[in-house]
Amino acid sequence: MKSVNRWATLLLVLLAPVLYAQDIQDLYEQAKAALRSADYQSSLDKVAAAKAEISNDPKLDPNGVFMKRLLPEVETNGQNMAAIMLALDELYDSSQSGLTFPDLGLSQEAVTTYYSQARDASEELQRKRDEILASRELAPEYKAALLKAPVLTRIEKLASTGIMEKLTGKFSQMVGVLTDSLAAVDNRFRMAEARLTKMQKSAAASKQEIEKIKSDMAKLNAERLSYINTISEMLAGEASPEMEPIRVALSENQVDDVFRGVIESEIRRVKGIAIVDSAGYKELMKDYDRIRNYNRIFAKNNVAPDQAALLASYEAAIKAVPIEVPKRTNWTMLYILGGVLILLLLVGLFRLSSSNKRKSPPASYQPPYQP
Amino acid sequence: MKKALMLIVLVLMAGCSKQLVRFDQYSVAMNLKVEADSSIYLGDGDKFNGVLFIGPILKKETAPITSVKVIQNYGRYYLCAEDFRNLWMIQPTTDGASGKYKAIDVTPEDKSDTLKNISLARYGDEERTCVRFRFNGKEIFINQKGGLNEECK
Repeated sequence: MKSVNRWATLLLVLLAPVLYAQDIQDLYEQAKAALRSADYQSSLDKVAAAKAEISNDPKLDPNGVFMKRLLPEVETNGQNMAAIMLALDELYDSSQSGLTFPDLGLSQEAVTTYYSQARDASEELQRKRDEILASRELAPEYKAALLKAPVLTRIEKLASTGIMEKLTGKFSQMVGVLTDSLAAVDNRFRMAEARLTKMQKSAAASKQEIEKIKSDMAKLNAERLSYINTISEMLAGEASPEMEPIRVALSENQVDDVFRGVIESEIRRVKGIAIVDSAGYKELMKDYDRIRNYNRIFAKNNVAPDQAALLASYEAAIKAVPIEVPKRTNWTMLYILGGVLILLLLVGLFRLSSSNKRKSPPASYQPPYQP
Repeated sequence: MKKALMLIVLVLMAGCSKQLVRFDQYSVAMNLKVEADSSIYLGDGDKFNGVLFIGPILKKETAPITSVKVIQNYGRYYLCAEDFRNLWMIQPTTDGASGKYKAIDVTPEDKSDTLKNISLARYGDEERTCVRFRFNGKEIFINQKGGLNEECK
């Protein structure tokens, strides 16, 4: 009978659906899920709600496992994430507003200086970002979420393209100056090259004159490469839409013609080299790598078509240059000679000491007594 | 002689008495994946404390499931899943290699009723903790001995 009454009461309770407060475990799981989406505010709100529920009814957490262990863990991670995100936000804002470039005029040096300043600013931004990320501890699952947070994407973009984009205005003004200078230098180089070819064909030309033209050409080539390097610095970083005016200006100014000419003349120069030592060979490879890098930047920005075929010929020409092998020291022979010398020295010393023994008796020697 | 015998008895009694430490066997609710062989790992990743083979329970419950909710209270496991008809109690045996299982019908008024919106939690104080089982917008409490109540007592 007692059992029937118990079941009847239970039945009544069960028949009346009630609106219950949210489960602590649900709140805890939601707090963790929010942190896994880098939503630290929702996470901290859920933790606070769970704590409030437990404070209202301590029976919800019989052994204090939520209050003492699980919730504080999520809360600490949430607070750390909040601190990191706020610091990252501040870093982004200060980098955005504080990044200015002084007016350096329209010159090739100005581009190099701007490029160097932009690179330094980008590296500094990345260093500070990493410093903030390491400043507080986060469980790996929450750290992974943080790395996908929009503020980090914004900082990444600012570091990779944003800083260079700020220079777009300054660079746009310089494009004309740079390409005009490049075209002038290139023209002088081509004229010098034509003159050299003509001289080499004529028997009247002196060796001194030929060397003079070659030296002029080397200087002009260095100047030409310097302009190309400056242009590539303007295009450094990711190919962003903001850089489009510069790209258009460069392609309109036939940078590709000059660039192709540079590679062709480099191939001719390398083919003219009779022999190089290993240091010279390394220099040739360094020049090749530099030009290959320009090609990559120009092709990526559609300033010039990809010169892969020409570069392959350039590389083949370098590889065909004979390398002078330095005479190797024959260490084995040196060791043998050294050994023989030491042996002779020892023999000499031995003989010297034996002859001395025979000539003078020791000081303590007493001749035998003869009566 | 008597004194010596008494001493021996006392020493033997001291030797036989069990030394105990406090050991609360409980857990928070776990949402566990049911493996292809009808087993569930009690825990997460490499942190687990056993495997339950719930094939016989799944055979009695017809609902197709991929995960179950499990909670431990005073050494017993309570297990349920959405659309189950019962809450299941599993009592590990002393050999540590098997467990007795028993269905707890929380809706005795309706034999065809299925359980929806289920949740398991521990409720009470350190001395007396129940399992609170919520389902179909209702709740019941299961005490330390596995008894069903409308309150935790």
